[in-house]
Amino acid sequence: MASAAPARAVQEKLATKNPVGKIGMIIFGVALLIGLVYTVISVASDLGSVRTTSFSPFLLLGVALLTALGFEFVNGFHDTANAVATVIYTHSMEPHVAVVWSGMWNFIGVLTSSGAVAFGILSLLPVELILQVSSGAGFAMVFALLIAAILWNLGTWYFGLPASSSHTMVGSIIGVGIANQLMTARTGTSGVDWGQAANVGKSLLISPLVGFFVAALLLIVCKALIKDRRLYEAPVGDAPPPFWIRGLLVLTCTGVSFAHGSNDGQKGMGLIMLILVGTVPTAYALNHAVSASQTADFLAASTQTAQVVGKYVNPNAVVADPRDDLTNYIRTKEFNNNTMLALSQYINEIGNEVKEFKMLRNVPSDKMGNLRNDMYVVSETIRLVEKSGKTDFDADDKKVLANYKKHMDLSTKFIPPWVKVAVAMALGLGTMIGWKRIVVTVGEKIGKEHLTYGQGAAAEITAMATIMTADGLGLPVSTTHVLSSGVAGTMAANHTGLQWETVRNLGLAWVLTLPVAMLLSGFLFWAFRSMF
Amino acid sequence: MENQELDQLRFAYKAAVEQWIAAIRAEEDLATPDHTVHAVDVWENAGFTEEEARTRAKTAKQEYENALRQVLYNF
Repeated sequence: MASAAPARAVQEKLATKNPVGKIGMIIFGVALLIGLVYTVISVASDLGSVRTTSFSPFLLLGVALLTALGFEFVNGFHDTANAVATVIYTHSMEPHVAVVWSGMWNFIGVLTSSGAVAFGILSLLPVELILQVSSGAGFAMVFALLIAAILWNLGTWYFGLPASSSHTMVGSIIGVGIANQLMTARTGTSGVDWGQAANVGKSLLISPLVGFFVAALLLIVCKALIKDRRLYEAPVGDAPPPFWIRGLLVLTCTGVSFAHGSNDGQKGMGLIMLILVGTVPTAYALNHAVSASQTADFLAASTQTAQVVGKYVNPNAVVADPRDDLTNYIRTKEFNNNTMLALSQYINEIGNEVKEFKMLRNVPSDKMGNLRNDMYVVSETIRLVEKSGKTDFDADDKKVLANYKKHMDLSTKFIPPWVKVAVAMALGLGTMIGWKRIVVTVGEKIGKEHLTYGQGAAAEITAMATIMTADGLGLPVSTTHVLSSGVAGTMAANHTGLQWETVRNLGLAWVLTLPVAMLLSGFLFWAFRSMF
Repeated sequence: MENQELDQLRFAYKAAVEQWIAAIRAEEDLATPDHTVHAVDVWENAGFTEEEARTRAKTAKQEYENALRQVLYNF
């Protein structure tokens, strides 16, 4: 190609003009190296207590961890545009500084996350696969989920399409659920959380409307109230926007990056914990950091909770195997006369088991996985019974249940610091690599004219406000959809026109995300089940 | 210096577009009253040549756009 040489020359010359980006990359590189050393040392220390003659669990652990971190890495560069597209195209930040900045805030977001979302995502998975995570079926599920999500995210990234990573993950989970139902010859799809599919459906309708109209309205209101003409004209040369609007754009970029890290980073953490529990349960099934006094508190709470649950037992209830009853309840969500009796019996059984060993770290390695599963089943049952409203607990009883669940979660829902560090590194690194494709789509290919300072601010403020309010109000919205639609909304409000080919491709990718992820993960689950 | 490189890319793009236009014209010229199979084959082959010329023009445009983005936005 005759034009390749000058194109390369321009790239090389400009690459030397980015000292700030280079310094940022060097600082981040050092942080990565420290994180890597810390992760390796921590893993080696944790695995030191594992007694096994086989190398295969470690090999499986390595492959699964790399796949999970690969998912976070791809998620990082797939979603960077949400945070940096507007600051780059409004000259609020130099692009290489913007991506390093965004990567750092993603990194911080992961490190400071609570872990609640991590375990929330696990509750969407088929319960029988969670309980058999050490088996071939469990690994087939984890690999199918991760590889399907990576493939769809990579595909949409390749074509520069900002599709929702959350919808991809939900689609993958549903796909595995359906495939599992079909392969175990159960009728219907009771193990599939259709509520999540409905949420994605609502999001597909709500997100573009929220993004488009809120951003458009915001721009119109700004034009009416703020008469600074510079805000509504294309930037001249490299000139940044007025200070206050530049500050606002950098703030929203920071907030979106932090929120992405603290939310999306946790999805990978949840799956990594599942992998760790499946491959080396001795080290990770139960929290070894639970102290003797915390164990004593747990036992007291256990006795109290069994009594509370006993108050709500149906007198006609008969239970043969409480674990079977409760597992079936979690899978089908069908409350029956026996559910509370099974729960009460199971709480007592767990209490007796923990009392026998006095502390969680004393539980023999061959019993750890089982005790964890018992705790998981009870914790999930309590959550679902309370959510269903089938049992009218009084306020005091609710407090007892909450206290018991808190102790239970302390024992099973923990995330070792090295997992957070590893995910933070993968997500942060991903944010800094491969971001250009989707940024170009958002910044250049949605509207027919250049993004003005006002348009960039209106779209990014809408995206940031969405993140802040979505969790609080429980709105099923996608930040990716809101931002892209927001840019489109500001173009419409400015009467600058839209590039309909891009809009059509975006709409197609958004609608196809759920079914394609479902099909991909379902097929992969079937293929892996046939292999393992 | 920078402008020279950008101009080279711009000229390459323009040249590719000219070749594409020529290919379109060549294809169009082959749509004649001769409705034989051989004539249709020749016309269709010209269509393939036009597709190749279009791909070259789009690639040249992409490279020019990428270079402009490097200069205007530094990425």
